[in-house]
Amino acid sequence: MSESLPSPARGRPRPGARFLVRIARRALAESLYLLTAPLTAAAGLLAVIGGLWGLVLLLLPGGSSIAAGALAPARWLADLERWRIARMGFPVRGTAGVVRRSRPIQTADASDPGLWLDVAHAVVVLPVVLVTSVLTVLWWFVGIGAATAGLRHPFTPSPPMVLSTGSLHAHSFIAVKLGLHSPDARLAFATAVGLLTLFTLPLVTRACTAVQARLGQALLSDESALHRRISGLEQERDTARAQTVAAVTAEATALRRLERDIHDGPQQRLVRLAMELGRAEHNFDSRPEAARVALADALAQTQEALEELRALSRGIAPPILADRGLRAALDALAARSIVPVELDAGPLDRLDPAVETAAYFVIAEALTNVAKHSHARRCVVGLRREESVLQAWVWDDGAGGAALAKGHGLRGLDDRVHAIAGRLRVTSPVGGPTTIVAELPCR
Amino acid sequence: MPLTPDATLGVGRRPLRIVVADDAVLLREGLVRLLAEDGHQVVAAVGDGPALVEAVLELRPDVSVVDVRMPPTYTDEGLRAAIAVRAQRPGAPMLVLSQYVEASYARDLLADGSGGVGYLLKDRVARVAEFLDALDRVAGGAAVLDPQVMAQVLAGQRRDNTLGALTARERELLALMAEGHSNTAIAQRLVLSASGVEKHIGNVFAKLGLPPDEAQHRRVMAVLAYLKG
Repeated sequence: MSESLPSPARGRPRPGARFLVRIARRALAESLYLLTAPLTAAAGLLAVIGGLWGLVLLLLPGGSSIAAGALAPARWLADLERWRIARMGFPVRGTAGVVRRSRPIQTADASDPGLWLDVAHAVVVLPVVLVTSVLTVLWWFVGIGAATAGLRHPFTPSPPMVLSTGSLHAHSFIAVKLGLHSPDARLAFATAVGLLTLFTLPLVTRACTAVQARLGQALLSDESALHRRISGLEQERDTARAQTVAAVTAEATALRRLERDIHDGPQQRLVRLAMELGRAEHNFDSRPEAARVALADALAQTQEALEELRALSRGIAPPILADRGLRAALDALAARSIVPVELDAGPLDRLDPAVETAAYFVIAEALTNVAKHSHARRCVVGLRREESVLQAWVWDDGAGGAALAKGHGLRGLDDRVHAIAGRLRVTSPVGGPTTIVAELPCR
Repeated sequence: MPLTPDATLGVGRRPLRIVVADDAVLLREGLVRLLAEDGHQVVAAVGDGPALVEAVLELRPDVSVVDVRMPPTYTDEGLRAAIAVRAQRPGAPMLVLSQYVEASYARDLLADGSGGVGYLLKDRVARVAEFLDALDRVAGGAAVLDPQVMAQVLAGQRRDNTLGALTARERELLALMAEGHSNTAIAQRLVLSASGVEKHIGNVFAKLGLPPDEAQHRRVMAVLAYLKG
């Protein structure tokens, strides 16, 4: 039934207490909106003026983002106004989901037309707000003042001269014209005026709110919000794209490395093995002793080739990681390490395979680096899961001086971690110690 | 398609002065031992391209055995070093070994047309006698290409231009020439008389438009034409 209620702005009152309460509540809310408007508008203008030096910077090369940053407070106030307008029943198109959503920091851009519309709004709205707020104040003041004149002066014979400010002549004229010569008649007149004013208050607040809100809708509407939404989405897309690139790079790097490992490892062994067998065959009749030596060497090469293949397959996809999870795989890794490794990890649930694999390889690669370059005597490997982030770190007391840019290994790890939207940090001052931390998001 | 030995090992073969270039110590040692056992003299064993160029220019070996993939790029360092050497010392014999063979690499090696080039899969070393024989032929100025190179060219494109004019038999003969076989070996393989082989080879040269020239050089040119398709 409430849906069918006519809007008071159309001025068709209908009996019913609920209806009156609604009207009164709305008038109160709108009055609050209108009376606080000068504050927000003044703040908005101040923010714009404060940001004006940013406009000067805008003329400098590269000043665009600085200008946008300087004008950021003006934007926040514009957002506040959008919210206020929406609360008054004038939703600003296109802003749904934008105002509440935490916006990426870098989306403010001087090329964004919305920024300049926000600024324009801050400048234009102030005079409008002054008029509407004065009207609101006046209506409240006159309404309450006149309507309660009888209560405030119950037995006073002197006339309430509420409406006669500076225009005594006109008042007398009206009074005379209406024949209100007695104090009672004047009191009745004042009360009538007061009630009329109070009665029309909802109309006035509605009208003022409408003027202010329409101005807001015109200047703060979808274009700017949409623009920001688009840049927000663009940024999300760029992040996703960067992740894809990192994933592809990591894969390409891994494949190249695998090819190298095969070439330098088992393939060499097998060629050498073939060579020795060839020698053995070649010398079989003429120099049996040399043939025997060659065969012994061939056998050794076979064993080496097998060992290398085992290490390689472990490097591609460690079976224990798939079978028993990260914790067990790290135990095995630590046991194989040349540098003594201390494991600082509690029991851990199975995680997403991509996260487990990334964490494993970060630690495995870090341990390889420790063994190869650091001359460390001690090494600590840690794993901790906090909420939706798995933290994996490797600390060593070695020589330090490792950098992401330096070693291809670390670079590859960075790509691997980025591919699953994680982060890799390397702290390695010359002289050590070195800490490598991977933060991997997991659900 | 194994290489067929043309000559019995050791008979009439002179000891060669050899430079070996391979970054993998494992294979370098194996090669050095193999060559030494056969009575050759390894005058230098190096691990990268620049060292190879330097060693060859300084020591002037009879032949160099070069691994394609060496530091710093681990791509075709050895190949480029071999070409660089031959730019400064034309015809310096180079036997290039690789884990993979690519026809385009062979083309690059042969491009100067001066012969004394070999390009073999590393595995061929295991056929010790054939390998040593190929080495000997390269040192002597022949072009010896791995059968796999030929297979690649054949599998690739059957061009209708120059090579299209050759008969199947002539193409077969050209492939054997590319592998560096002598007329005698080719005659054995194709079950032909020596004069028959010569006649066929003459036809091939004529069809490829190669002018009468020193025989070895014409063979290289024919192989090059074959590679270029």
